[in-house]
Amino acid sequence: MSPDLLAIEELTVRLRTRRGIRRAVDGVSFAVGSGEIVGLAGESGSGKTLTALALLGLLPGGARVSGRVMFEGRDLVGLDRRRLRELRGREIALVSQDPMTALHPLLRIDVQLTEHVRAHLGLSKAEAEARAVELLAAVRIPGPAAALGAYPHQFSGGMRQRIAIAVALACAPKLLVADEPTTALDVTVQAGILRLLDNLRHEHGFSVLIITHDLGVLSAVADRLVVLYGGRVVESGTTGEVLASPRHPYTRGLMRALPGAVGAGQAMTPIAGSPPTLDSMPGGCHFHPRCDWAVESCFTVVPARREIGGGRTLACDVDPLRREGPETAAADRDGEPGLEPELQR
Amino acid sequence: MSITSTLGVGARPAGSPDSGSAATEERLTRSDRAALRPSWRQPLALTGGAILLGWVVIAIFAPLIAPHPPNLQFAAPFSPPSRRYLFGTDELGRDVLSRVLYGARISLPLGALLVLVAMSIGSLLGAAAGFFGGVIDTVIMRLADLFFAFPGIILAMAVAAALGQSLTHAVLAVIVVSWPSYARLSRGLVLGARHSEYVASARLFGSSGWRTMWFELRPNVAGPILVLAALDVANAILLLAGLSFLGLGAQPPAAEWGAMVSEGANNFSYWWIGLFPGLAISTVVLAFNFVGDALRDLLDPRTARMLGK
Amino acid sequence: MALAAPELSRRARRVTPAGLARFLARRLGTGLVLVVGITLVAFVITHLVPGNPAAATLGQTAMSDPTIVKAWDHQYGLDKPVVEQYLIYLGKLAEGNLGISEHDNNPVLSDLGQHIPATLELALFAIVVSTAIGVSLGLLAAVRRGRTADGVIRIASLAGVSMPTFWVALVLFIVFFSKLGWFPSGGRLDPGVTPPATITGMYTVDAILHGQWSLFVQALQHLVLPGVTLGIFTIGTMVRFTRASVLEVVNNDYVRAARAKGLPEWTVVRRHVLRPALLAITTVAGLAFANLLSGTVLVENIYGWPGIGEYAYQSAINLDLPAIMGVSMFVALVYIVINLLVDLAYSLLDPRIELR
Repeated sequence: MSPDLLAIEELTVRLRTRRGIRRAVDGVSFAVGSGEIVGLAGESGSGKTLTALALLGLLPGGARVSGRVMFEGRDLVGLDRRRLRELRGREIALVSQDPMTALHPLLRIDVQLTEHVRAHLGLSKAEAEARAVELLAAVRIPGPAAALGAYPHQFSGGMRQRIAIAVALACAPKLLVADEPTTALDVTVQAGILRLLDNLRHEHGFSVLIITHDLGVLSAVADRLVVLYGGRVVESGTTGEVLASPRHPYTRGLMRALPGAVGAGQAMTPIAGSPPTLDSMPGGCHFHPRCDWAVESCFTVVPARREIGGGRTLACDVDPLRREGPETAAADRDGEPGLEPELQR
Repeated sequence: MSITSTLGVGARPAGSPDSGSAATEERLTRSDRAALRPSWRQPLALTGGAILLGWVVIAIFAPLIAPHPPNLQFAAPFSPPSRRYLFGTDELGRDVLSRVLYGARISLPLGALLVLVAMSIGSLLGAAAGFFGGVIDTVIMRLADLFFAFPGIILAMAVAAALGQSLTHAVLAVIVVSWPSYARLSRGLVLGARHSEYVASARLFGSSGWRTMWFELRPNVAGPILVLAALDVANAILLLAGLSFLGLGAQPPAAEWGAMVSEGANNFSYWWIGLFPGLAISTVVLAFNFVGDALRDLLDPRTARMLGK
Repeated sequence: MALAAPELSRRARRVTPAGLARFLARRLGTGLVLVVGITLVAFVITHLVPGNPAAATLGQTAMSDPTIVKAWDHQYGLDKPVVEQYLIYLGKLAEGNLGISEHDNNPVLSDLGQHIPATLELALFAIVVSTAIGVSLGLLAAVRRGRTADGVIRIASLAGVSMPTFWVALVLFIVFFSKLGWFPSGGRLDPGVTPPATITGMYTVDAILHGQWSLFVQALQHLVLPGVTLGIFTIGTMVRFTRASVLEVVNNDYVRAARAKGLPEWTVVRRHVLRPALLAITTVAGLAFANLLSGTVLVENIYGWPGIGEYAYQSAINLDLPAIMGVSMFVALVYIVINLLVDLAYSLLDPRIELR
């Protein structure tokens, strides 16, 4: 495979909450190769959106970032604001969650589709508009020239998401970050958008980082999966392998929660309990309060993320498939602080 | 008199109801805001409450606190503020400090009273309009619209002038001006709650219209109405003082703040006559605004918007 | 997957002349009903109360002579049944006759024409100043949310709406006229100075139109104190609304999307944040302007400003029924017109809104 376009290494995002400073993203590492689609999966509160915002440099003011975000050999963490801004929209583009709100309701499509093109690439108005028409055609908007003069509310949800993708692709970015790109859409429309993304990345050769809670979406398009829980990577690997034999109890839970589950035949059962909040993050393995396999050490020992072959990683000392003892894992993990002491009851 | 109880509602420090746990990343901005809010809001509410408490104490104990009776003409007229007369004396040689302190006995109880009356009339009419609908709704709300369209000060002036110049009539005038906003709010709230299941079930069990309204709807409607009242006391006091300033309210020699400012305007070379009573009005109104503002934040945003006027 | 054609049908022109005409006609209808309603309220209030207009105008001695009172009542039609009086009034109203003022014996219509420009000038000055300052401060508070600047602005704006305008007027008067002598004491011009020939009735504007610059400066100086007094109250409201609406917009996905496009921050704020926030601000500014036009009573009273507020005050204390009704109708018209303008502005600013 080609060298990684994006390599996130030990990314940590600290936020100040009312009760102190919390790690919302805690030592996350993964890579996205050129032309690859990587899925970042997890429930709300898992840190997936913050990870995406961190690599766009769009974290809210109070957040502190450490670790490295290597994009084409440059570390985006600590890059000055101006450089980062020049990179945003041009090299790395964002497709937001809800197409109903991601497009500005008061601005015409032509403005939204050309303003950054003109700012980044220095095109004239006419050139930028010509390009906008091509883009709309590329995302299969019928009558692209006419659509330029319209406002977002004149389009359906699926159409708006196509336009949002066109906006993101306008400067031919190398990486597209798609934050829940299909969550707000009907299932049939979802499939169309995903197929479109897949086709476009083959045509234009960009990479995609899809962020979603929906493994079903990822199974359709992602080459690789990174599963986050409580700000940490719990499992990663190629989509096929992870979905065929999920190793982390959380991944298994996510799959059981899918309607018409990938792991065929089983009834749809949601994971018991709800995801922790920053101020109620449990000690040890964050997932232990909701885990059917949890053993005593899970309450106190943070499981190390380790290679388990086939390019996969796993951060679980119990590993329901193997039932390994926790001792071995605890050994190579010399008490990293991980959590604020008061939470380690 | 129910001043203290009404003020008690306003003066209660607005404790933050949210437990502060739901700080997930997706709601970062909101949790951010929640985390930052107490730093400004709560102190404001507490400050407002403290100021109000201070004024209530002054109103109750004015005869003990004030150095002189409010209408005693004993000193040299127009004496500037000094150690002897902290706020100076007015054109008749009355002690301005004493008059300002006694003024709390007029503005606070009257403000509270008239808001209480306007609130009762307005919210009952509004609730009736919302609950019964049809002709009752149309008549009440069109009437409210008319009074609403009338600018407060002009309507109040017309009423006060028509009734004759006295403080009681000015209070009536302000009530006439104030009730429609309560009617609108309570109608909106009742309409929102009317179709909810608990009201439907109450009616199924044979509860009468008024009974349902009183026992089932009142608890849902009361909160926002009280917040509106807290904010409205501020406006009511301002309007009442304004009428007195114009000579349409309190008549001489009453120690009423608005009338005292008017006296100060007639003798503007002696700045202390008008300055201090105006400061008194400002602090009371500011305190009510602090408290009302903090209370408004405790309501859900949609209701808060209805209050936004 | 269904590739539904986008509905671009409404794209052509949102505001068609026919649509606009229909919209205006409908608004005119409701407006008319409101005006009639207002006259009714004014009429009822001034009639169902024990106050006696004759007493207010004629004074003690004349009141003791029943023939004078009777003649007076007859002259103003006060001896007829109340309902008949109201119908007579409405009839005259339809002809554009607002009656004769009882306290200065001029036609109410011409009185209004005399006083409205003065208030309009004052209100325009106040709204321009307070909108400019209020929107900037509100924006600043929103941008620095939760920081010191936000807190200071918040408290200041609450203070602004808490101080009685008549007191602010007095304090400014004492400081800037009595003590410092920077600004004149009141009135629209210095005593004895001839106003510019009437074009709009607003002295500053008329002075400019006639090229009378020194007169313009003088008129402006007279405007400052009452204008600022009115503005202080309005600034508070503008700040709070701007802050709230900007914060509401800032948290929208589309603002994050604009940032993700790598646009300069100023472009994001100006194009993506301020524009939608302006929608809400337009409404508030409109309402604030309407309030200014009708709420100048106290300030005009202190500064001897011969505007509609002072006229309303004189009418009220003299129980001058035709004049009170005239003022009420003017104010009602102001609200109707301004609401209409706000709605029109809305439909221009927001493509989603159609005139109805």
